[in-house]
Amino acid sequence: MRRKSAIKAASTTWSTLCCSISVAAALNVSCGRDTTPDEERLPGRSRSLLAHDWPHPRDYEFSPSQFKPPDPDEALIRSSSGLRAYVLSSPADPVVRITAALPLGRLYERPGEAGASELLTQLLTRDARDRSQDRLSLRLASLGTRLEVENLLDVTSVSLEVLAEDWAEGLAVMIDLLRRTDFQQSVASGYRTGIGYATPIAEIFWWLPGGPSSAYRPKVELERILGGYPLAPPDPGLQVSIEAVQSLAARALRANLVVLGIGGNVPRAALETELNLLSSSWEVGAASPQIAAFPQPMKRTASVHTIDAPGLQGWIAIGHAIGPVPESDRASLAVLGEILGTRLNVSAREMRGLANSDVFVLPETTNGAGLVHIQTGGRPEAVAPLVKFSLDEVARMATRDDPISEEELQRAKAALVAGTWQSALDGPRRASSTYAVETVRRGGVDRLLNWPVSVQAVTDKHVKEAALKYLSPSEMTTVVVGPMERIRQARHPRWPVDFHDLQRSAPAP
Amino acid sequence: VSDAVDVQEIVLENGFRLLLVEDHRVPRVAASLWYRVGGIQEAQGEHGSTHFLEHAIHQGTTTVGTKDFDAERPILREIHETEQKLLGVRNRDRNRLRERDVFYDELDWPTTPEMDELRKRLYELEDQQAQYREFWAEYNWYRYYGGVARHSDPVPATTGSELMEIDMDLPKESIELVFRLEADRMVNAVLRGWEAQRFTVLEQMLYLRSRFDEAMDGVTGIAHPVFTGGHHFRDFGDFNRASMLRIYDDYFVPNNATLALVGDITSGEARALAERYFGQLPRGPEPPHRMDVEAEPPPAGAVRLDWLEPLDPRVIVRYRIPGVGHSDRPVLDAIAALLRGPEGMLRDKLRSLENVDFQVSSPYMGSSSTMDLIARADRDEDLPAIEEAILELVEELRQSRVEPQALRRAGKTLRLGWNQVRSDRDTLAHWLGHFEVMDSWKTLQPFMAARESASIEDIQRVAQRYFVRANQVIVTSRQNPPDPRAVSHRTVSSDGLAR
Repeated sequence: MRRKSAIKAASTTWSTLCCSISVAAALNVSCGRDTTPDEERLPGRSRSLLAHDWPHPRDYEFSPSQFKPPDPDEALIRSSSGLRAYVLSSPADPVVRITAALPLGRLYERPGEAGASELLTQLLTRDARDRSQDRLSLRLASLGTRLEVENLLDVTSVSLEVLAEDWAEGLAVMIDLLRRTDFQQSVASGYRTGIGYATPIAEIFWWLPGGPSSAYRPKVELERILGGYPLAPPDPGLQVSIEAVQSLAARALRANLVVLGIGGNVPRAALETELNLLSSSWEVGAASPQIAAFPQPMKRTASVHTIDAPGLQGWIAIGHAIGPVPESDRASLAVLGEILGTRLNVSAREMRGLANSDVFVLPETTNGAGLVHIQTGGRPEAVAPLVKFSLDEVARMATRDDPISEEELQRAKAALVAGTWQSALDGPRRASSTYAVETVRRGGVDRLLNWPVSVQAVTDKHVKEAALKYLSPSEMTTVVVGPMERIRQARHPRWPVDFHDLQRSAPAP
Repeated sequence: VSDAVDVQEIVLENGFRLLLVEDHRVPRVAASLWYRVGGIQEAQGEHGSTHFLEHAIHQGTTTVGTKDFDAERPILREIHETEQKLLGVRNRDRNRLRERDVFYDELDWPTTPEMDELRKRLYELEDQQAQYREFWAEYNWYRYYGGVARHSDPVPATTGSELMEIDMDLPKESIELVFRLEADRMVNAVLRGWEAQRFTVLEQMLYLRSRFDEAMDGVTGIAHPVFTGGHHFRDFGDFNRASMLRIYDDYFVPNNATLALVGDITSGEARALAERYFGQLPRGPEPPHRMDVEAEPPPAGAVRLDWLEPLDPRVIVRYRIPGVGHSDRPVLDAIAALLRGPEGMLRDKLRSLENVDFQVSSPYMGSSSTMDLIARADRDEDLPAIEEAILELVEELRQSRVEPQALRRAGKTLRLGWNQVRSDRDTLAHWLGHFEVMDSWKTLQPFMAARESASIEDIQRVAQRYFVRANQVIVTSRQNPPDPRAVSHRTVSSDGLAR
């Protein structure tokens, strides 16, 4: 007998939560009674099951989240030089986080500057062989901290965390590095050479600057095939002139273009004074730098590319490029991404045990253009089925007659709002960083603050429309990096798919 | 700002432990549930089964993750009986199946046609059961109510040598879900999709650990899952539901679990929820007495492993170090902080070499583990110089040649690290639970204070005790090893256990 939910647990507050439990118990009306017989044991178990009347998760009606992001208008200060900073003071926090968001990335480069944005970031954040007492690395070490750098296509962020008592020196370190001009040719010459670049397949997920997402080799190869630079990162050994770096720096590292986020136990008045001092005489840029468009149209071919790497498992990227996405479609596409990500994981991992994960990734650019793709991988015999079943899920999503359930829709929205969005604004440290980055990307935080409303307005119809518009499984390119001879010969015992068939249906050019 | 953290401890009548830190800055709560279970209690031939169990108990319960549990019952019975037959056949045919090959491949498990038939039947039965499944149910319900996992894997959990952690951060309004789902998971988990999950676990291991890692642990004398968190590739073919369920029944009891909560919740609210859900679970027998047997004999002298399959060039100098709970352990954190970073002693020692990257790893475990000094180069030719420099550096530590400023910087790094931990909900919940399984949550703050205040004398004493040849393993890998067809070799120089 399948249990039926008679009453939903109405728990609008903590006190009513306890109240609703006792009322349900007193009335002996189950919130969803388990039919487990008393003392039942499942085969192989030595303990009895527990019979309980706990509500099924779908039957909870939790009150809406009280989460409210900090007020960005109240937080925003502007120095006499035009430098903006979101300052979120929190006396209870023993740590201060300082983030500098910069209008810097591959999409800001002009002809002749390819690679300059990443190199500039390296020159700002690393010492070469400098042994002076005011070298950056020593100043950071004296604070017990290090820099965290994120290089995206159209925004770069540099962050550090310091103890509350060190906030002033932390701020000075950050401003000083942003105002550096001592770029050394010796460091520039070593750009994209050395460890990691010499053996790019030795460690597939990490090692290259930028972390796992930028270093995932199949994705990088996919970007190279579909669009080349600037969609793909620069090739190893690329030479960039110091002049190109200086030119880019002159456009990006200006007081009125950089935005800071400062969160934690920091005295606001003292910080304002310090900020004015540190940023005085910092040059002002003429206008916001222009972002270049990706070359259009980017290639779309249903082809399979392979790179032999005998020492690895089979690592896969499948995808195609998309152009700019209008703001009206952004929330729908984000919900689509959540739903498809869940479906891919269920199909590849939960149902079939083919991979540890099967992940769907949307472009991270401000205008939405870039690569939509899947990242997955597994043992040789799992590679061909992974490609097939992943593409099947994309196709399922991109057809009108395969519906999206209400539960899928609501879960995706909650994951985006109560999950991802709240996390980005969770406390002064994260919120100040997020505001700074968002302001550099979009000129302000209105879109960020309205994101929950945009997401909540998405319907299943919107998601389907976005899928039809932005997903084209028949035009997806596959890149496999792995032991190709073994992959071609292998057959999965339960999900036998012939890799040759995949290549025949989508031949390599 | 005080460095202290105010931890409240609540223990229910059935032994379930709740650790709570109230932090009302943001209306969310981080939950971190810990079981004292792991590779430490696995039987020989089943190393990795606890990690596998972690995946298996994330496939739903009698009430969650199923469309019709009544329909699943007879299938579960037949799965059990079929697997028992499979185990019987394997025992009966053990002389045909035993592992005789030296170069054993985990993807080439010995089998017989009869076993293949039974395995096929198990696949069919799981396919039948799948009709009634709601896949990835618990995790999806967490996401439905705004849950975010610190651990980003599709299963929001971690298993180690002596621990299993399940973590979730939720809006305060929906934190009840943790109590509902985890109490249910503790007693009513149902194995579903077990065969698929077996390969998922294997995939994780192939990604996270290589044969190189396994060999390195082998020569260090820490191949036993007590040390590594528990996986032998060769054991994946031997996993079975019956032994897994024994672990589940023995260790997943309220008196072997700790829930650490940090966030916007009061002790009264937390206690009420704990009583409502976990409080209904009967106390179990105390977990079997095999959890204090940890140490393996150390290597009989200095060990060297030169890996002869092509890999990126690196040198690893490794020493076994004591576990958390030992008074020397905080000092080893201070040593690691001294060595790390662009201004660390390791970088300083190797400054003349270009294109060398460093790491110093010293994992937190209740049993002994290792400190690894790892240098990666882009040329094989640099390896001898790197190795020599690292050994010189170790000698400097033994001789107390440590700059006071360097130690001050290391202390600052550790102090910042602790303050980052204690001011981050999820991280603090994690560390409270982690210390509770490794030692005691009460030793977390003294541990952090001790590592910040380590002196140069402490460092010399500890270096002299542990950084000795009898406790030293040197491992190298090369892009172009001398003879890639040869097996990798190990040399042991028996110069005694110089303690």
